[in-house]
Amino acid sequence: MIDREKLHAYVDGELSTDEVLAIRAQLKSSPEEAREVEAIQTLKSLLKAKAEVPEFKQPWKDCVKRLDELDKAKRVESVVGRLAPFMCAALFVGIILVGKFGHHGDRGFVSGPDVSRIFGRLSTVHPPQVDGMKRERWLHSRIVDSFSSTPDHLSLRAEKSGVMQGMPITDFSARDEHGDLEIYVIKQAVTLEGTKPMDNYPDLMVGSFNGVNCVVRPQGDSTILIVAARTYVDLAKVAGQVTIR
Amino acid sequence: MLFGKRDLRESFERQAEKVFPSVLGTALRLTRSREDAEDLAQEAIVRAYDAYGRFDGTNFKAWMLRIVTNLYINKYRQRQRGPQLGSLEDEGAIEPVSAATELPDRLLFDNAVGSEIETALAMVPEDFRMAVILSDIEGLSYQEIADVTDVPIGTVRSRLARGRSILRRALEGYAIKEGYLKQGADE
Repeated sequence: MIDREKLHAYVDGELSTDEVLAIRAQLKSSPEEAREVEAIQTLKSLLKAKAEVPEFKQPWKDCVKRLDELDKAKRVESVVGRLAPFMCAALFVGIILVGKFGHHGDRGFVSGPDVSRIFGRLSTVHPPQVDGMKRERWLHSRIVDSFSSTPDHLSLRAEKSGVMQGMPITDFSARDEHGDLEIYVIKQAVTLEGTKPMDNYPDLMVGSFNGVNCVVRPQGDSTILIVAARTYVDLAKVAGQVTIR
Repeated sequence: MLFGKRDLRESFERQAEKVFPSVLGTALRLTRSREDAEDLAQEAIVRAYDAYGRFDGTNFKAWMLRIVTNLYINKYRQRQRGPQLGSLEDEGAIEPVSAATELPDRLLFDNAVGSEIETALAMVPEDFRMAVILSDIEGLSYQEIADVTDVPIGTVRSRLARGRSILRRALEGYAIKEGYLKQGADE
């Protein structure tokens, strides 16, 4: 008796020549197994001939559409991937150029955080003790020495000095009839970040410094920054009365 | 395989279109759901396209069917209902295909239409059905079926013998209904 699996393999053409010859010889003397072979062949041909072919045109179109989308996504990825180094390089060069040439004309540019940081490091200027001069007199003399024109009612309370990005800077803590104000004198023409031209005062810039209003007035090679909790117009009046000597 | 991107797409599409009816048909016979079959076939095409650069160029159809069956096993099989793999130790697992009736099978089943064949096929447990589909409908060799289903050739032989036997029994239901075979004729 022939192994059943071998009969299937015989019908499927999966046996060696020797095995085929041996089975053919056996089939001649075994009508039952010959009928089994015929049954397997019938089943195979039945499946091959009558298995339904599904409607595939629309599903295939859907597949092609999906492949198109996939290709498109790959193209985009590829372009971005190719350009990424150039975009990074351009950004880097841009940052360098802005850093190098990002000045406003010939004027130095001082960022807001720099102003806060550097102004906080100014050292108090103490009156000289050699001639026994009183502090009030010394402070008055400082304001006279520093400004060629100041409001009469402006008094100096303290003076601090230091260097900001290589620029000498002096902070005069002053007071007038409206209260305290800070007058910073920077010995260079600079533009302070966050300031903008003041309406009706073309020579003044306005902004805020640590949340307090300020006006900036360029004067020759220097810059005056006046900071006080007042309106821009009030600050502009003070700025108009202060001229650096 | 060395292709430009456009050539790769054209080459893939040309080959895939030829075998797509087999891909979709196999997916349909495995999932027994048109919607699942279309999803499965489409996913197989996308996976194959992604991996086409690594295709060894020998037998595209067998390669595609392997992707379909693997996807089915990994993603869809858990959701399927119906007959599952039976044990080869079951009674009559390798029983003869031919019936006890003297009437040849070719006469018994000659008038069976496609839908009846498909219904009978759907009654065959999954792993046996897969072997029968790949061999008798798709025409794959034992070695190719072994590669596609990732089992030894001996298992392919067993599954085919068992699957065909179960399929024939299922078709007898059709023959009885049509009056070609009397109830209990093969018992």
